[in-house]
Amino acid sequence: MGSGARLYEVNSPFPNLLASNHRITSRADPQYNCFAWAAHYTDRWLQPDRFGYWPGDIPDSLTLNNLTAVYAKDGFERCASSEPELGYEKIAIYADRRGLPRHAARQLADGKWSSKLGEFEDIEHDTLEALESREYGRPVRYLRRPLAPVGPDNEGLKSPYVP
Amino acid sequence: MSLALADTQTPLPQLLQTEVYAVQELAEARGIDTRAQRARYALLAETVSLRSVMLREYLRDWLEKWRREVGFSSLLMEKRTHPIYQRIVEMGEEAIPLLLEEIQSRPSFIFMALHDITGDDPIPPEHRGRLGPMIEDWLRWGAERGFTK
Repeated sequence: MGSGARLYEVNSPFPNLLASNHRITSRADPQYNCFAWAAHYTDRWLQPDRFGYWPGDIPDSLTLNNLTAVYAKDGFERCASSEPELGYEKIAIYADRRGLPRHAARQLADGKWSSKLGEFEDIEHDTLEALESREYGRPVRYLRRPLAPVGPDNEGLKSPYVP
Repeated sequence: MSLALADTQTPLPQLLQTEVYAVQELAEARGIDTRAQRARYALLAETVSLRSVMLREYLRDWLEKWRREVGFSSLLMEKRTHPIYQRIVEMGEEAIPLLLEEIQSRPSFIFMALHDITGDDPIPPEHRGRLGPMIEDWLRWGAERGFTK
């Protein structure tokens, strides 16, 4: 059973996630988590942990600033809002009440968002609010980086920093 | 043993010869011992096999519940501190072959329990965060110690 069915269960951790505001876009895959997916990585579990991937030159604690520094290595910079901006792709970082990162989502070309749900599936969700929850907290920081220009060698949607 | 010896009506001096006594007793005892041993082994094997089946069942249920409850989380520490994960770790060495079997057929971060049970860490720094290579490291560890073929 995919998490699609689980999302609508009574005990679903996401009260705002409805059948009408999201779509499952991949199979469950424990190889990568939301933080990796937000920066287009699907080959690593990005987290400072004995079993996670984390750049050696970034302090190994999961804080908003450290996570921002990790994304900065891939060309992201802080920005003011989640509103779509022409020529940029964005990441929204969710944090809990203590301000610790719990989730990250990536903005799609049409302004919707893509999220990897832990070790479960990727979903496309219409709004950031759809994943606001006790589990993930709420979006507190936004990052952006320029999209690659459309050309014969790329799809025009991915960043030049995509590995 | 004494009944068996009495039936043979062996003369007393001969009875007192330890070799004869021993041989006659052994013949009887050997049969009994062999049957007892076979029964014991059969019982032991059944018990061990039943225990192994039960543990596998328990582990399967626990893993399913663990995944359901922490699968949405991107934080490994949250997965490791969950009570069900702790229960799996408390299974101790008996869980090792079952966990190796599990990660071989269904790769997941439950391999972390192998570290928490054994204290070993066969993962080189360059594999950290890469599930496939980390699973391979643990399977190799298991094979080297005879847990898997």
